[in-house]
Amino acid sequence: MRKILLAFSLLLVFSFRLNAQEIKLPKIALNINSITFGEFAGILNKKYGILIYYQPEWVKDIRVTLNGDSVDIGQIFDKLLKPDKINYWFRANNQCFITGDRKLMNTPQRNNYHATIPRRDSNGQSISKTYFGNYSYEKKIRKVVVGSLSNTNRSEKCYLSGRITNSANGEPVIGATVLVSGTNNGIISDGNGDYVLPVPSGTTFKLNVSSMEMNPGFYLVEMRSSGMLNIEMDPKLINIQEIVVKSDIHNNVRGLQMGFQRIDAQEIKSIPVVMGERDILKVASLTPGVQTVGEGSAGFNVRGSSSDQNLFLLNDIPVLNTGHLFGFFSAFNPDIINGFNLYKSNFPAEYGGRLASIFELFTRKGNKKKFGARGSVSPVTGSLLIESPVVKDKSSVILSVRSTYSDWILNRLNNADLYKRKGSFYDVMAGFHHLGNHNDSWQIFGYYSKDKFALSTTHDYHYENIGASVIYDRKIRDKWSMNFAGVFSNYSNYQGNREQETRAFEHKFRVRSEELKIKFTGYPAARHKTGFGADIILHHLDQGIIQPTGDHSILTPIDLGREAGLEYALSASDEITITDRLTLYAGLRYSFFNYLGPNDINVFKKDSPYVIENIIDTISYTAGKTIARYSGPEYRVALNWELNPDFSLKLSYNRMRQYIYMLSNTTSISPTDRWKLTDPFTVPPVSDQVSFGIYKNLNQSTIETSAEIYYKKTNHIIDYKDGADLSFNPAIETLTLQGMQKAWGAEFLIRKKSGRFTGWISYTYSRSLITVNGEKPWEKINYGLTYPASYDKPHALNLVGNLKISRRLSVSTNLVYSTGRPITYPTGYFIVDGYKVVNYSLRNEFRIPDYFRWDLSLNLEGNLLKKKFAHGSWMLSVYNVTGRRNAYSIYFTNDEGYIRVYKLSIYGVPIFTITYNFKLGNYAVN
Amino acid sequence: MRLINILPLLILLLLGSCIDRFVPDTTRYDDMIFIECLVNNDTTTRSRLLISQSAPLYTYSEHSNAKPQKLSGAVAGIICNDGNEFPFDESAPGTYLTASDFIPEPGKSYKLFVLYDGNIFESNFEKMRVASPIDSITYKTVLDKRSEDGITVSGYRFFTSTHQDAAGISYYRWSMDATYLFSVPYTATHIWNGKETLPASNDSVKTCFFSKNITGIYVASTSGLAENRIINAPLHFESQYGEALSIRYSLHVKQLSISESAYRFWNDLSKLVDRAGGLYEIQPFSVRGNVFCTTESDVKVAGIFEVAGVTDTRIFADRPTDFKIIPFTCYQQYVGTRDYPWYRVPKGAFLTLDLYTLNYLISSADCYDCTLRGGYTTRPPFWEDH
Repeated sequence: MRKILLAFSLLLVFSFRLNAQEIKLPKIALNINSITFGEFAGILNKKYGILIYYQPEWVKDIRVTLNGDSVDIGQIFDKLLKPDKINYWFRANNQCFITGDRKLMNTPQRNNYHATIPRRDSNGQSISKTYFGNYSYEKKIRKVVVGSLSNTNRSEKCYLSGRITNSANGEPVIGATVLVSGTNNGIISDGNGDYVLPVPSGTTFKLNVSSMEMNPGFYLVEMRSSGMLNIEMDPKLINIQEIVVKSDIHNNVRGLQMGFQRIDAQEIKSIPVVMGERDILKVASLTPGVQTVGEGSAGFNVRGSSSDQNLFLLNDIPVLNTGHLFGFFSAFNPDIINGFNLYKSNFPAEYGGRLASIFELFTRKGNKKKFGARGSVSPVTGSLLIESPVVKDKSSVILSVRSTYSDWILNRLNNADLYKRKGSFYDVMAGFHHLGNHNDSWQIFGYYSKDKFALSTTHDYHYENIGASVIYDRKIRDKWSMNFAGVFSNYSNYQGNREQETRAFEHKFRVRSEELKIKFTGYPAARHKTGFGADIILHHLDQGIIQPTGDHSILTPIDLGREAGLEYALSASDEITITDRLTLYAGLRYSFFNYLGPNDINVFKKDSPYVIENIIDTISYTAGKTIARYSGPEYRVALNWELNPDFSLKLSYNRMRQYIYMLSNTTSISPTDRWKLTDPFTVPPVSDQVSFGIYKNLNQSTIETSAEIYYKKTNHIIDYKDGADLSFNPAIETLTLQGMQKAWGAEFLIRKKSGRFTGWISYTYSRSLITVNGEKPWEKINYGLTYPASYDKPHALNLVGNLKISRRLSVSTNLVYSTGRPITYPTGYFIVDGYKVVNYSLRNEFRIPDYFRWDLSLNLEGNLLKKKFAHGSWMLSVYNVTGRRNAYSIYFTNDEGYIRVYKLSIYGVPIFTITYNFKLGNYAVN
Repeated sequence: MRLINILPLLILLLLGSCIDRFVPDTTRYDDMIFIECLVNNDTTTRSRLLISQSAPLYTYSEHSNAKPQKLSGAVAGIICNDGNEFPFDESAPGTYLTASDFIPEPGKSYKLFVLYDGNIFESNFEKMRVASPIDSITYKTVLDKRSEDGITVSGYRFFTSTHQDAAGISYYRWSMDATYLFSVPYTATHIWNGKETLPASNDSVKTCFFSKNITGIYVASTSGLAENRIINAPLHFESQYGEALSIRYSLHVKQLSISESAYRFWNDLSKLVDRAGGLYEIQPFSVRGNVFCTTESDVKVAGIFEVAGVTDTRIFADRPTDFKIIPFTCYQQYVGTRDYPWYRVPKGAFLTLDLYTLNYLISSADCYDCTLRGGYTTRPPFWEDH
């Protein structure tokens, strides 16, 4: 404790000194006649201790004659240097810099000496020089010259590009805002930390670089021609109370993105956890427009859409089953996750394949400076991450492993009922990242997750995700960047069921995909940011064979068949800055889908329902033959009208198409749910969404507010007939019907991103209604009447708050409220053969009770010594503080002749967990 | 599979899930006509048609008095595909019986029609199936975990096996009734006549037979199986609680070979019962069965017309040795004390003289007299002693 106090007081003293600085230029008394500037400088140094820094060639023609007792040195310099347009600057009262023809800012008092050797541009010329500086924790201004003078052409637009990295570990800084001060010309760094900013050449401007986790950087940039500026940002080491970071976070107002959420690792850390797990998906579900059907359910619902309409991309790898332990934990180890982007509307043109959302997860790329390790121990899991440079500052490797030890616990319990149950999961992620010599980078990433469960001796469930991606990024000239990715993913699922000996079976299915995608982004002309790309995915679905197992099973094997499909798309987009205040994004993605052989397709009796009895023939198609073909445009239009720098209106219209869907008619995703391609019977669902938003930043952009409304209409939505049994039926077309879904809502968010208190409060109103009312009498669900989707929860209010009590201690809390999900209740009963049976209402006419939860967590960091081998932190969390027994489900059973109603709650008591996190290095390592 | 069974695992991991009784805040009632016509070739009973209106659940209280209301005044009959027609006569309100000569014959098809309140309800022709023999009825001790209260219960689970020689798919439903012997714990020495104690014995009412219908839906099909054979399909579970297994127990199993449409009705109901609640509950739906309204009308109807070939068999089981029987609680107390003065003793109450204290002991009447528990002392004709 004493050490901390000392550190505090030192900092206080230091910052006081910074503020106390003022320049009082000395008066001088000299009598000199026609001496050179160099000699003059020598005299000033000797007599008055003034140091003058200059380049001799600038002042070689200057002769100094002086005669006076108390002459202001500023006046002398003005007279001497101004006629030759030579600038000078007194940094303190005893230091002066002659800066030649370079202009300076008026009062650059708090500059920083931080010599970064900038890269050379394509002409091989030095593109920046580092000048003067002072020492400060608060601001750093570096002047850089980009491009070469010979190329300067004032009228032309040129491009400032580069990569933003974390100075501590070489990791790219994703989502940093790069902004030309005083304008709305800005950009956000992409997943590799890259940015490209169009700027007028021949100008000098102040460039602000900011990011949540980093100290903001300020650069004085003189643009001579297109060139690169790689920026290293320092992580926020210590949030000193005195410093209010006024970083120019304008991106929510200025960017085109709407229906968009970004949460980075730092924020994920400060949200209370369940069972000691920082669950990325649970964090996402606290943001507006994202809901889950209940606790412990895998997946989530975005803006009133089913959970299979979300595309999860982990470094471009699609992950089909995002849950561990049936969804109680997410399949992404939070240690390695650097943050996520969630697109709910205004999808960039290069994204597609799902209707509701794209959930992009980025992993850390590994420390390029030094070896690092971290991990955590919680009641359910343990995890370890190690990272290391391979070639310092060039390439790195990272490996994360997480596993449960629930089996170990289960084995130690002498409970007759539990001893046969087993459950375990683990996941491994490994990556290699390399910065090339040609402004390019390579990333190779692999992912594996496995779940294994046994319920007594009768049921076994295993499932695993395997994925790999190779991503290559490269700058082409100055204006363009290229991104190429090759992706492989395989999801396989095994189920063993020995509930009845004679019907014991095993079933294994697989969903495999191979994908190639390429994307170009660039600035072909002034005020245009253009992108185009292509991607192609080959889907292979092996639905598996239900095989008899054991000696007594007389089950006939059921072959559920195989499927193949080719999904490909071309995309192009242009972001046009119409005026400084008006930006238009116009994008088009054209997607194609071919349902491929080999396959056997049923032929049904004409004008008859698709039921097994009406199958009159089966046509066999050979391998590679196109059985069905779908294609169509996907429009992506967005408009941002910035009324003033912290207030904007945005409008977007999007169309999405989806060619693969999940076979699920349970309320939440079950571990045995299969996937299915759209086929000759099932038309791919198409969704159109219009959204409008108002974005306003308050209090110097430390508080972001937004309000968005949307309306979404999905055609050909897939739903299931009453009582459809999806698990054993190879002819899925006999179980599905297609209809229309309408979803609309409003999302409000107030978010404070900096200061001692951070967090957000969000309110969402959303509705989602489905109508399946085909022309034929059998093409109806719920008698053709509209019904709420089972995830239709109109009101949702979330509060996430984090308060830093001291630098070591912080408290976080969540408050979650939502309307109960719809449910189908009985509205009467009848007696059949002496047995009371309930009669259900129309679909989803009722709702389960509203949901409310309060979580609390306390995070205690180890000591803040700068030099230490390892840093630990404790997290104590209470999930569901009030112990409210939130209903997951309400159900009716016939208990000994009585109809009784029960409520199932997943977490009916407050759950205390304590987690220990550790990492090599000090507190600030991230 | 009842995925609610996953919960115990999660309870272990999460230490928090629970199931509570619940009262929904709705009293919505949708009326629906329910038609039940279960016909089989059992010659001992007459075929019966029941027409009723579904009952409201109101407060969902198990003691709710609302019962499905019987609907009378229907004209109904069964048509055979050979042209014969068998009308029903209303024997009691809502209960309709065929003439005793109506016994459906295997191979023939039958169709139900009902004219009620201006609407015609009818089924399709349902083919009468040949009864399959019951190959075996067995039982074994199993542990059953009740998800609702988390109590693990031991008991006997009965199983049945059957087969059909002809290839094809068979559909079965089993209905059961049980008869068991049980006794009350106390032996009476005296009886209280209101004034004094007289020597008496309760031997004649100490041991009784008890009969009960087993409710529940038990169905199976051979669909998807390589053989037209059912092996060890699970039937009723008789738990260790109560007296059912305390002396000797007999389960009477009626095996009904039913049609696919009837099977679908029963199976849908059973799915809804089995997979209600839990993490992966299916979307509940209104089961409509195989009786349809063929007139244009808003009336909602559900119905089952089942034409079954029936066989039956009976199995006996003795008191288990591998688990305890937990009977109803009985206790005795002394009479003539301040807590239980003589004037409170009902007339005709059995008493036991405690030979050590020479005081009388009393208990609740049904701990002396098994007939008060619904038992009867006449030995049923099928009863076989051990």
